[in-house]
Amino acid sequence: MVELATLLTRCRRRDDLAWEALVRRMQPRVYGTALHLLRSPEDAREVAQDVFVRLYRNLAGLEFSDETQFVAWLLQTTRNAAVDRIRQIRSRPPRADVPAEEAGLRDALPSPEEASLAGDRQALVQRALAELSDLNREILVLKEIQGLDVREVAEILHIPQGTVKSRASRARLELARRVLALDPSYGA
Amino acid sequence: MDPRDDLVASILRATSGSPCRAAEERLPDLVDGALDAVDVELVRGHLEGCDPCTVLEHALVEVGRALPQMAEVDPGRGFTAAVLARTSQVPARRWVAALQALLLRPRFALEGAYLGSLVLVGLLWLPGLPLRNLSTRASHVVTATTEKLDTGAATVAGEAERLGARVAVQAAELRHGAERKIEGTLTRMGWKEAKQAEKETP
Repeated sequence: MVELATLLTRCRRRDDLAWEALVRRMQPRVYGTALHLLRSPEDAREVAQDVFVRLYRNLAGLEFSDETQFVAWLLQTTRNAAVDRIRQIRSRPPRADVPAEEAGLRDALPSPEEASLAGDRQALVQRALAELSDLNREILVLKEIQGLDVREVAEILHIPQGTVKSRASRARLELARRVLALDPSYGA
Repeated sequence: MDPRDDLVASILRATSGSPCRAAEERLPDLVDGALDAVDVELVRGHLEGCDPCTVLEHALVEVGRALPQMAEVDPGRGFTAAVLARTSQVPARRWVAALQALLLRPRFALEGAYLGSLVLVGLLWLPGLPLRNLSTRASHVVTATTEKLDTGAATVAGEAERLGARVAVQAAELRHGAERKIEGTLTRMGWKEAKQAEKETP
């Protein structure tokens, strides 16, 4: 597999094949992060596309000392784009007279029964994750799911590192409780 | 339930209350292996007699395993193609992006000033270049222009003096002509004699 640094160098020289390879390699993480934050596959796809377009336009001016820094930048951009999208969604006037299913607002994630019956424990965790507060979910997505370290998460979210540490522990505990509430046999 | 556990629970109820909260707070660190030996022993001791906390600990372990596996989610077919289609729509802007990147470099202003200074010094000092000895040539031009201006000013002053003299002569001639004309007219009308007789009459 071609190293990420090599791909980035080639992309800066406008090598279209290298750009395609970079998109293919990073799209699951970018889309995954957007999906966990937005909880809507459609919005997540749009946000992920915007992130790649932004990356493409800024490639020449971006410099990364290593792969980790590039991933952190990409996830930060994804998080910011997702937050902007959430603000847009919240600022839309409510469509009170339209049933949620008709308005396309039905949660795309599986219901607890669906997730439990399918034995899909990951989907169960995903659903429980969606029930957390925005900040707790962001911390878990960046730290526990995407594996960023405490310093990087603190920088992305503009909060102290101590807050990230304590919040991450509490958020995991809360997540475990919510998963148990959805499926008491979880972890048994 | 072990009678001893029952007894412990009774004592705790009557004293500090349930220790579950204290155990739960330490469960994430226990799962991460970040708890010191004493706390590990205390929490493990609690878990032996507390089913809800044990279930929670197991769930926490499972959640800890599940979360990293959620890092990558397949966006589905067509995603890469959609991104490539959107980025291929901007080839015309590539040179703009390259220029922007060049301009936005942190030391661009410093580098530009340095380069500009070098070019200016080269143009002013290098032999054979158009701006060589610019200051000397500029000084010659200024001196020549001043001399021309001085000469021009003297010529204009002389011309003005000559014009002034001509105007004075013409004015005197006009005045003299007018006096003669008036005198002739008065003579014709006989007013001159009448006035003279009037003067002579005592």
